[in-house]
Formats: sequence, C-alpha cells, structure tokens
Amino acid sequence: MADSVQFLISGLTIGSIYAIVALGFVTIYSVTKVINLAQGEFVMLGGMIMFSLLKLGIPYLIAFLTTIAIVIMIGWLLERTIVRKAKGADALSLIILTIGAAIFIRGIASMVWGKGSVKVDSFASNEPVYVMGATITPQSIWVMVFMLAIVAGLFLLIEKTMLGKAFRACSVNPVAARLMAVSPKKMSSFSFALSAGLGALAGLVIAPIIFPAYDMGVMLGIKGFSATILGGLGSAPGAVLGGLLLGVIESLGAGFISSGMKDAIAFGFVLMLLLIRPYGLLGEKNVGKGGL
Amino acid sequence: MKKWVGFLLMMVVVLGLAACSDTEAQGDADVYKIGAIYSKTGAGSPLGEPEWNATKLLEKKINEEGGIDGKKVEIVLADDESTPEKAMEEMNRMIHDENVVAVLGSTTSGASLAMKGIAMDNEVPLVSAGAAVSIISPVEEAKWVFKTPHSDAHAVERIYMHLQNEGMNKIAILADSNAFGESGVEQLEALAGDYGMEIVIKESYNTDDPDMKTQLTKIDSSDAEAMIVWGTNPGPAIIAKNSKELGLDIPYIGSHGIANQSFIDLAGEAAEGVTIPTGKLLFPTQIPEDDEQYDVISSFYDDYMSEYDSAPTNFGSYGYDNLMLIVDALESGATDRESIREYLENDVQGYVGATGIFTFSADDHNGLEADSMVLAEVSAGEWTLKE
Repeated sequence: MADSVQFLISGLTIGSIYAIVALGFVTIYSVTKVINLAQGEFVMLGGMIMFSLLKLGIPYLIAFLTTIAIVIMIGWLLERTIVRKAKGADALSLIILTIGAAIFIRGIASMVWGKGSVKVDSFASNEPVYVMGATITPQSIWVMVFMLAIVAGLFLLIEKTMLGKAFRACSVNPVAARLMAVSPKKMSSFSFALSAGLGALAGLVIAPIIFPAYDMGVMLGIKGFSATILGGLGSAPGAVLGGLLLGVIESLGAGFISSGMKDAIAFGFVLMLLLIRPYGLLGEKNVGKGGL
Repeated sequence: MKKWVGFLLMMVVVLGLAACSDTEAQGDADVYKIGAIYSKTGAGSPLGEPEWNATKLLEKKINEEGGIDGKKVEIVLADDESTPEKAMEEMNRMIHDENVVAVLGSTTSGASLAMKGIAMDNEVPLVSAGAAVSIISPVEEAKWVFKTPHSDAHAVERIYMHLQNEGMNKIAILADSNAFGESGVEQLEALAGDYGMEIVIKESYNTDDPDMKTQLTKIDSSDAEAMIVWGTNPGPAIIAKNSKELGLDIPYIGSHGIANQSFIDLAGEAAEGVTIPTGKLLFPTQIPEDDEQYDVISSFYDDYMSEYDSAPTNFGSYGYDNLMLIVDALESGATDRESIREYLENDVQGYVGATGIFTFSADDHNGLEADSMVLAEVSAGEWTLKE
C-alpha cells in the first residue's frame, strides 16, 4: 500500500515537472500557431542562469527575478531576430526555425557552462514531508504550487483582460484583429516573451530537483511537448492534465511492470489515447479555433 | 609505347616510395619517437587533459635526466577532439608520416577501438587509455593492443570482494540504461555466481530522469542487503538524494564512474557513506607508505601538482603508465615495433605503475588484478580511502 502511494507521489512529482514545461508550449501555440521547440532551452536557461547568479553571491530572490528577466529578454530577442524575420513563412517553417534556435542555444550553453551538471539550492527546507507512509519533498510541492499559479494566471490574463482578448483575436483571425487595431506582430513578440518567462520559471522551480546541465532541455522539451499533445494543443488545463498523467503512468509503469519499459509504457499510452481522441484530452475538435 | 612509358614511370615512383619508407623505418638515429593521441578537447576532455599533461610532463622529465641510453625521447602529441574519425586520421599520420615506434591512446573507448584496427593492420604497438574490455579482447584480435585502465570487470570484482567481507550476498542493481550502465550490469550478472551473490532486484533509469523514487521504493521493499548503482553523473547523485529523502538504509555502492568531486558537489550531504571502487590516484595523498605503489604515485603526484597546480586524477595515471611501459621496453633494448610488443607481452611482470601492478601475458593485455583497485567512501564531503 505504502509502495503504491509512493509510486503515485513520485509520478505526480515527475508529472508536475512535465506539466510546468508544457504550459510554455501552450502560450506560444495559442497565439501564433507555432510550436516553439526551443521551449526546453528556455527551461534550461532558467536553471543555468540561476546557478551562475547564485555563484556570484547574489541573494536568492534577486537572482530569481533577474533570471526571469534575462530569459524573457532572450525569448523576445529570439522572436525579433528569427521568427519575425521569416515574414510570411508558414507555421511549419517557423517550427523548424525554432529547432535551429534550440540547437544554437544549446551550443552556446555548452560553451558557457561546460558539459557537467550543476547544483542549485532549493527554495526553503530540504526536509521531506510524509504523506500516508510516502515521502514528498517540499520542492516538489513548490513545483505544483507554481504550476497551479501559472494556470490560474494564464486564465485570468486570457479571459479577463483586454490583452487576453487581443491574444485570442490574433489566434482566431490575424487579419480581422489587425482591422481592430490589434497588432499580431506585437502579440507574437509578447507571447514569445511570456513563454520564455514561463520556461524560466519552470527551470527555476525544477532546478533544485534535477541537476541542471546544458542539454536538459532536450528531455524536458520532448516530455513537455508530449504532455501538451496529450492534453490537447492550446489548452492550459489540458497541458497540466497531460503532464501529470504522463508522469503518473511512467511511475506506475516503472513500479508495477518494469523500470526499463517505463517510457515505452507511457508513450504507448499517449499513442493509444491519440488514436481515440486525436485532438487530445481537453483539446477542442477544431484545433484552429485557438484560445487558451 | 606510351603505355609502357607510363608503366615504367609508375614503377619508378612506386619503387622510389618504397625505398623512402624503407630508410625512414629505420628512424632517426638520435631519438625515440612515440606517438600519443589523447582527447585534449571535446566531450572527453576532462579525461584526456590529465593524460595529455602527464605525457608532456614525463617527456620533459625523461629528457632532462639524459633520455634513454643517451637517446632523447620525442613524443608526438595529437588531439583527437574526442572523435573516432580524427583519432583514425592521427593514427595513420603517426604510423606513416611520423614513423613512431608505438602509439599511446586514445582517451575514449570509441576512439581506441577505431585505432585498434589500424594498429593491427600496420603491426604497431598501441597502448590505450580507454575503459572498454573490447579494446583488448578477444586477445587473438588484439595482438598489438594493450590497455592500462581498469576494466568494468575489475570494478565489479572489487565490489563483490567487499560485499563478501561484509557478509552480504543479496544485492539490488540500479543502472543507467546507457552503454556504461548496460556494460556494468552485464559484468555484475556474469560474475555474481563466482562470488555467491544473488541479484534479488534489477532496475534501470534514463540518464536524464528527474526522480528515481519509484525504483528506490521497489528496492526498499525487496530483501536486498546492498544497492549497487551503475552510472555517471548526474543520475547517481539524484539517486543518492532520493534515497536520503526516502530514508533508505541499505548501503549505497557506486561504480568507478562517479570517482570525481562533482558527484559529491551535486549530491551534497546525501553523498555521505557512498562507497565506490577506484584507482588510487583519486586520493594520492592518502595512500599508506607501505603500499607497493607509494613511491610511484607520490612522486608522480608531486611532479604533476608542481607543474600544473591541479590533481592528476585517475586519468593522469593512465597517461603515466601508458608512456612508462613503452619507456621501460625501450630501456630494456626493445627498440623496434615488433620487439616492443614482444617485451610488453612477455617481460612486463609485476611492473609497478601508478594505476596498479601490471603483469601482461599472451591472454591478458590489461595485466591488472581487481585488488589494485581500492574502496573509497565519502566522508565529510571528500573521498577517503576505506580500509
């Protein structure tokens, strides 16, 4: 019994990491229809920049905020220099451009930080908490808190503000949006900056759990993207659900069947689900409609 | 007629070339030329750099002390940039252009295996610093190839010897799913019977996994008495951290893949008590004076520290042994490729090196015993020699 609870909690720990990464994919996709495959690199930059700032002796909170600001700048620059320049390119070409950007960022990171893993301290105490005979670390709880806060924040932003309306307008019909004095270009930069910020935030909360390295974005990008697809592209609650489900299936698969097979089990499940519901768990049937 | 002229011309060129290489093969009369290919840059550079440095240090030292029988040693160093392709290119250059008597290297197993074929075809002695057993086995296909680092099998044997002493025989394995982890598991399974070990549970993880608590929970529920973790950073550090969080109380035994300070830096307090098998250069200053290798290790360590101001690590000791074995052969009068090979295979008996004590034979081109590895335990944030 205690074992099963531990499997479940480990799964939720892993799943919330995937989910928080997945949220970044959703933000860009819902405005620009571009899947930013450099999202995992934003997460990596969050963890690694935090490490460097802390090493310089900057206080934790200031380092935390500075990291987010720096990564937002990088995201904005990425949109300005790469995505914006490819005027009129279709979504597929832009997606391929983001792959190039990801490889570029990873290359630079391996030169700046080397190839080794680094360690970032956790937010507060390291003492594990016990739940029904299972163990959970405070940092994992932080990941879940941030995840929920991001979903709530995105919901408020999209549904309750003028900015959110503009976001949705660009997603549904960029031409009509322009006629209504909403600039799709501005919204596109804004969505890249926002998702870079979300990526950095994800990197910051998970850095103390995994030991960040220049290439961590690859694994997180793949898992986060899978979570997004599983939950339904463009749906923030779907991304969270997809991430958690992926983590729990992996963990239960490793626990009850075989740890060597866990990825095969998890992705087998994703494939099967997509055969039944091609638009994902919470995705709308007409994916083109957009909105978060 | 034209045809014949062309043919004759060709013959002249071919003969001329053959004549050239004939005279060159005699070598320069005043120096012994040895080739060394290590990974000074690229992914293997943390390993290759100490090997490179040790080689340069020794070249200087040998020549300052008058060389070998009055002849200088010239080492042609080359960087393979951690790729097998570059290693092969450099290997060909060493053999055909530089005309070396023997080649040392390379750092990684992949590059060493690529160089092995060239060494065999050209009949040049090759002493590798790679870890994989396949570099020197099967021995019929490795007539010209030797290696000085310990193999996975040595590390496994050393762990099993330790467990036997502790009276434990039920073990859990948690290994990385990559090549390093799989090779470890293979050896752990193959040698378990010889030492009366029973593998009660076998789990794996992926190198980038963020959390291993599921696997650890399963291990905790099994009746294993010790857990053997086979992988390289950061996986084993995450496992140490997760074990501590779960309150796992069975001993954590790692592989030589984490014999570095970075494991301790990552795992922090959770690293305390972790035990691994390692070469002695992990803590050169802790080797007792009555150890047979004490003189070799401490003088190498002191020289290296004063020259480079950083520790030579275990990899430095591979660089040291690779070169010194060839120097030993040259000093004994084995000065061409064939006789150097003969000497290494037949006459290196109980040679005291920095990595261990070497005894090569026709069946064993690694020449080490498991007991030349020692056990290290993390105590107060440092690897310390475990008695």
